[in-house]
This record gives sequence, C-alpha cells and structure tokens, in this order.
Amino acid sequence: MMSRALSPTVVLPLLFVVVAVGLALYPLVGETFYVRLMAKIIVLGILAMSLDLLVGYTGLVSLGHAAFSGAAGYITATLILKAGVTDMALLLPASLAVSALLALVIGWISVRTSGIYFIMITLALGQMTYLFFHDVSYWGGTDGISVWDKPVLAVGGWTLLELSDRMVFYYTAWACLVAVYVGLWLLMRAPFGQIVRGVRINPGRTQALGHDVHRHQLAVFVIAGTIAGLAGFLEVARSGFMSPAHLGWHESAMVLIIVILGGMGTLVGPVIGALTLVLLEDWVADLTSHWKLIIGLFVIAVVLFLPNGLVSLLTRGAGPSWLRGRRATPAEAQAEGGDDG
Amino acid sequence: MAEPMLETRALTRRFGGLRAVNNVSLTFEVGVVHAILGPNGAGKTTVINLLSGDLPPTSGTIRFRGRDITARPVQRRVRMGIGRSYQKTNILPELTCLDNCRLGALSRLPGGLARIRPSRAARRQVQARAEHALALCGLEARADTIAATLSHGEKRQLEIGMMMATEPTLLLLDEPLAGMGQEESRRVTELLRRLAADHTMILIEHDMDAVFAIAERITVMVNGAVLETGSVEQIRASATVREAYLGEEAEP
Repeated sequence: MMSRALSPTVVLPLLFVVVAVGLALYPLVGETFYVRLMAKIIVLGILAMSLDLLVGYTGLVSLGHAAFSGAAGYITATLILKAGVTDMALLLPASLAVSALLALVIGWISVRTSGIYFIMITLALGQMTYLFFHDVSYWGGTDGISVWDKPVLAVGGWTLLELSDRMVFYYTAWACLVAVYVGLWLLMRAPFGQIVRGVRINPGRTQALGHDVHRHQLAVFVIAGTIAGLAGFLEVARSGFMSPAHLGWHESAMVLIIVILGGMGTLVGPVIGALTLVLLEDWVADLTSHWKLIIGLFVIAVVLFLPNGLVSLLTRGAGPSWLRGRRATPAEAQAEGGDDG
Repeated sequence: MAEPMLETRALTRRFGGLRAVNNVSLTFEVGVVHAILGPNGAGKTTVINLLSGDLPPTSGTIRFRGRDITARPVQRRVRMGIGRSYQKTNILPELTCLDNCRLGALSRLPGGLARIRPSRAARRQVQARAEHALALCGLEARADTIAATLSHGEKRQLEIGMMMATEPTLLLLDEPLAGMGQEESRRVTELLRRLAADHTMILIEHDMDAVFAIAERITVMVNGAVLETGSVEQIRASATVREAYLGEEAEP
C-alpha cells in the first residue's frame, strides 16, 4: 500500500498542490519583504518549468533559455516605455509572440544538433540575443530599461487586473504558475508527450517507429520558449526592470541549476528548486560575503547525493526507474550495453 | 507480374573508398519472404539501412509499391508501411513493454491536435493496436514489465512487437534471432512464420535452419554485390553460392 501511495505520478502532482496552496496562502501571513521574494520565486519557477520541459522531458540541455524570457521582457518594457502601451491584452500576446518566434528560429537551427553541440549552439545563439539587446543603443545598453507603469488588463472600461498592485500581481503570477503546471502536465500525458518521452529515451528508435524527431523537438522548443516569454513578461511587471543581464548565459545557467537542483523531468522540481535557491541566497547572503561559495557547495552536494534533485527525497525508491535514479540498474546497464548479439 | 512491394535499382552506398553496397538491383515481391544471406561484411545490414532510410544511398533508387522513396526520411517510410527491427536490440529500456509498443502505435495517429487531445476513439485505437502488437510478439503477459528487465529473447520479441505496432506491410528484419538460445529461437521463428502469412518480409539471418524454414526467395551477397538470387532450392543447388558462402554450412 505504501509503495503504491508513493508512486511519483501521484506524489509529484500532490507536491505541486501543496506548494501551490502554500504560495497562495503565504501573503496572508508573510512579511512584505518575503511576499516580494515569493513573487520572484513564482516567476522564476515558471521559467524553470519551461526549461524542464526541454531538459527533463525532451533531453535537450539548453544553455540559452534566458534569451526567450529576456526578449519577451524587453518587448514588454519597450512597449510600455516608448509606446506607452500598458494594455495587457496587447503586451502579453506581443511578448509571447516575440519569444515564440525567437524560439522557432533558434530551435530550428539547434535541433539539428544534439548533445554537447546542442548546448554550445543554444549558448551561442543565446549570447547573440544578449549582444543584440546589449549593443543596440535603442535598448539602453547595460543599464537596461526601467518602467514605472505596469500592465493593466481592462475590458470595456472595467479594470480587471492592475499589476502595479503587488497583491494583484502576486495572484496573477500564481495563477500563471498553476496554469503552466497543469498545461504542461496534461501535455506530457498526451500522445505528444509520450512521443517526446520516446525522443528523450531513444531518438533513433522513436524515429524508426514513425515519428519526426526534429519536429517534436522543435515543437517543444517553441512551447518552452513561449512559456519563458510569459516569465519574461511577468518579470517586467514584477520588477519594472529589464537589462541585458536577464538574457545572458549566467541567467540561463542559473535556471538550469534550478531545474537540476529541484529535479529534472518533474515540473514541480524546478519550482522547488527556485524556492530553495532564492531563499537560500537570501539567507546565506545575510551570513557571509562569500555566499556564492556556500551556494555552490550546496548545489554540488545535491548533485552528488541527490542526482535526481530535491524532489527525489520524496520519490526515491518508488515508481518508474527514470525517477528513481539516473544511474542505471544492472538490468538496464545490460540492456544498454550488453546486446551486441 | 503484379507490382512488386519493393524494388531497388543500382543501389550503391560508399563509405569512403569502400563500396559497402555495390550496384544492387533487387525486386521484392508482395507476400514473399525474401532472405538476404552472405558472409560478415557482405553489406546485408547496409542494404536494410538503405531500405529503411537510416542511411542515404550514394546512388541508385528505391521504389516502394511503385513510388520512389529514395529521398524519404525514415519516419515517412514507416508511415507508408515499412517496419524495421534492429540487429542490436533497440528498445526503450525504461518504459513498460506496452508503452514501447504504444510508441509505435502512436505513429498511426494523425498529426496536429490529435496528438494533444485525441478523441476517445483514437485513444482506444492506439491502445488496441499496442495491445495487439504485444500479443502478436507473445508478450501480452509482460505488458506492465519494464522492458529493461526482460530476458534477451523477450527483448528481441519486443523489438518485433514494436515494429508490428506501426502496422507495417513490409518487414525489414535484421537478424531477429541474434544471440538467442535454441528455445527462444524456435519461438521467434514460429512468430516470424505466422507473420509471414500476411506480410512481405526481407530477412537477414545467420540461422540457416530458420532461413530455410521461412524464406521463399534468397539473395546471396558477397562484398557488397549480389552474387545470386533465386528460390531456396536454386540457392541450395547453386555451385557458385556453395563455393562462395554456403560451403561448410550447407553440408550435413
């Protein structure tokens, strides 16, 4: 009975429900400072979930994912600042469209490669995007863009959402987090997700079973890039600020670390990863000026002792092997290497 | 004669200076089990790779039911009805047997929205196809077993089941009996014999008993080229073949 109840297919969604309810209730009890921190975590969680779709579910390790959130953020900030647009019904589709288009272009090039080359090419194209926003003076250089006005959603004179209100923003971002989780969870259970899982495990065989591997990888890349765009939009709505640093490879690597820290291929893991990293940073930075060293050691310790991330504390020993351990069991090792018959 | 299932014309594949497959023109008739024999390095697996689309030919053409498929990618050929099994077991070890077969069955779903929100009927069809394929290869009792934990012989059976889930009309079988014990070998030969009743097969196999038990036509390849093609009796009686290849094995 216990092992049945602990199956990851049950535990992980349950864990997300707990996290989501916790995040929903937190503003009722938390200090303002920490509520702001939670809002940051929620946005980062959305970005990390979108990267998990690539890294954990499709086996595509991208080191340029911040390019999509950053580009969407820049479009949002620019439209607000230079065109005076605050209508969310315009800002959100515009920023999503830009990130989707950018993901289509970068993805189209990248999915032709695999493994280390995929990492390098996403890194290179991500850095090109970074340099574009960094070097073209229109975007304000290193200083980035600060906006004072926040997106507003109004229908026929009725203001529905005013994101300048911290609580409205908080719950809007929270709703996005839940929607993204549910959407991706359903998508990965659908035939599309089953094919994508095949692409991750054995792309050659999946193709030989009649599936277009590149097309599925590209579809995932665009979906992930678009959701990253949502995170970029929310980031500008949250902080009123967008700078080249938001698109650089440092940011991409940080999101990747969050995904690995929380647990790849779990969706809820990246949210927990974001929660852990941001709270840990906040806590350790108060203790010592060498806080980055301590965070680094923590990340290394998790990777060494919990190679499947923090969520594996709950799922270990139950469920499918791909959640139990990346290290293959003897039977699996045999399946992969011992069939030269 | 009726239109052949598959036809190659002057098919050639070079690897650097080596002509792994050299000017091979073969016709595979509908409903016939056609075995390709030859010593190691004769280019048999390369021929299968060219037919399945895993490798592009250097020159020559491949026609499937009269249509030129030379430039078509693997997945399009699969959806046209060309299934293939691999010499080296090529399964998805971390999934259950049923999920392995389901992946093949999913290739019959139309693209687009049907892959995100399939109708109830479509889902049922996929499930039925996957279960049918699993039953075909004799693993219905193993539906929920993780494929990595199967015995070698069972993995080979699953390999065939996955191929069958794509509902092929032409089966490309690259040493389906490789590395099997006697009992497993007998079971899979029986399975192939059953499949042969309503499928066209191109078979590479070193197990001569199995070949002579199911094949109706045989092509013998040596050094990338076709040495001779004929009925089982013709090949058995052929002096050239005896000399070049069968020699020791054909004698009792």
